[in-house]
Amino acid sequence: MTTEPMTTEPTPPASPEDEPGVTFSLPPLPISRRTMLKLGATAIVGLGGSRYIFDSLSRIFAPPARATAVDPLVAAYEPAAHRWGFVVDTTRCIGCGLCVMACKQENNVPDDEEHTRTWIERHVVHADGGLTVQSPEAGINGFTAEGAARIDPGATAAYFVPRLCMQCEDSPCTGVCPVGATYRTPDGVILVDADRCIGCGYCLLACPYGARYLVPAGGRTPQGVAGVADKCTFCYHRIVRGEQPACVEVCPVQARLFGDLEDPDSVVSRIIGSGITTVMRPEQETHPRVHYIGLEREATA
Amino acid sequence: MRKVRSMTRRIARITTGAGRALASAWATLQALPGLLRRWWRALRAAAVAALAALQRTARWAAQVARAVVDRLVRIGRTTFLVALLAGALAVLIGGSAFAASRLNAEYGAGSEQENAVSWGGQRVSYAGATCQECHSAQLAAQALIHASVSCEGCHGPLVGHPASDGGSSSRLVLPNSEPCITCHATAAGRPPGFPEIAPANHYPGNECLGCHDAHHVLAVAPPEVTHPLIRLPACTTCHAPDGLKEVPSGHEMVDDEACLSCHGVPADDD
Repeated sequence: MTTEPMTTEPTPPASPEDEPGVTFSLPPLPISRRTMLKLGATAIVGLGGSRYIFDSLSRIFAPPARATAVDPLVAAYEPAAHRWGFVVDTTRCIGCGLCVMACKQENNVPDDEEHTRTWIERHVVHADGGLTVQSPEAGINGFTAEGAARIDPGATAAYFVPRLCMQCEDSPCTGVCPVGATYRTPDGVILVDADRCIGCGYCLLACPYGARYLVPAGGRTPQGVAGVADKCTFCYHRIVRGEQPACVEVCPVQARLFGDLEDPDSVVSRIIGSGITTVMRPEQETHPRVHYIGLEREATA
Repeated sequence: MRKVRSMTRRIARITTGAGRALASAWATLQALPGLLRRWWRALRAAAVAALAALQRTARWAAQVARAVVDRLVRIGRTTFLVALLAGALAVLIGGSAFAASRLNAEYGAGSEQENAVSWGGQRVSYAGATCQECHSAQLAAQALIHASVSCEGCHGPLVGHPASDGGSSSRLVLPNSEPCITCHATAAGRPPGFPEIAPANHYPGNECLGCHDAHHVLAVAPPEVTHPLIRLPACTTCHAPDGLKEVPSGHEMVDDEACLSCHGVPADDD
């Protein structure tokens, strides 16, 4: 940066460098005082203005204030390091309903069968290939002897199918939300931001699995507010602490399995890798993160 | 006399010491001006050198500044306008990017950690293995049967656990008053081989926990045989073939395969 000035100079600085002196004077600048003042004023106004704009933007788009105390387990959680997967084994499920009860307790889900994050269906495959699906009280109280097998003794198969959000990799619900309130986390869970949701219900229509509902007023509310869409979160508040979802925790027969697909040795990775699982409604090309064992008994006719 | 002599010796010692100290102080005082002069010369030389360096730096900075200003002045109006436009564009794009980044932070996409922290604030009710810390005995009783049945599945989440005052902590969340029924009542759809009972036939009128221990479920006293079994033709001679309890059984069975598949081995009871 020691280049010589390129302009013709009326009086170049006189003092040679080897002479030690205690006085020096700045050479005259080739711009007028007026220009200098203008430049200075512009710079000051520009700096102040950009500062103002930055502050305003920060205020407008500031994230909502969080609680100060953060669980160290949660603080250490790295979402991008995981890819959560779920396996439902319909050959093991006994239809006891403990998972539904645990989900409603853990997540403060409304207490009725219409509004639920998870539910159990009994699928009865008839001899003619037809399928009967029952889910009394979402299965929360288990299944009684008055089953479809009594109604149709000729049924070829009867089994229980626990249902929940499929956490699709290509999720239709996130695409249709007009306000971006439902989104997918890097670890592969679809969540609903209750602060943003306007309760329009488009996502309920878009979901091929009926996994979503609108939280009714006057009852329990998972996120503390009614009139918003709600669905299974894989118990996101639990998995960020390294715990299993509540339904997996209480299942007495390990019909629900949860784990990290990034870990090739996890139980879910091994089961899915073994090729014995299928997904629900694969023709929708939603690529669910919930895989099923035993669904092939489903009527294909 | 001796006292006087020791006194004079002491005085002599003291005066000698004082004299030495005085001499040393005097020498220091004499050397001081020269010392000060040397210090002053060194100080002045350092100041002059520093000023010279400062001047050289200032001259260099002035030259650089002059070159920069000169270039600015020589830039034409068009160039200036183009630069202004580019600047405005940069502010617009930068502002949008900033706004987008803040939006994403709230939506989870740009700040995964923030999203995890936000959701992690929800209360955890089911504590999983925590129950073992106090209730290891119950867990041990389930080691053979019901090893995979969690405490909270039947008892509800830990978060509602009664205070540790020895009060009734055996509350159940199961819908049926008979807890076993929820899983073990006969129902279509249960997997093959899963142990099922027909409540109407399996010791009706008795509570499950009257015979079965809640945690060590198979610790049941063997039923007492109330009649000889060997000479009876078949179980169904007494017991209804459809349901079991035409006559309630209270013993180990003899020969009917259908009955024996559940009801144990023959007993010699003559």
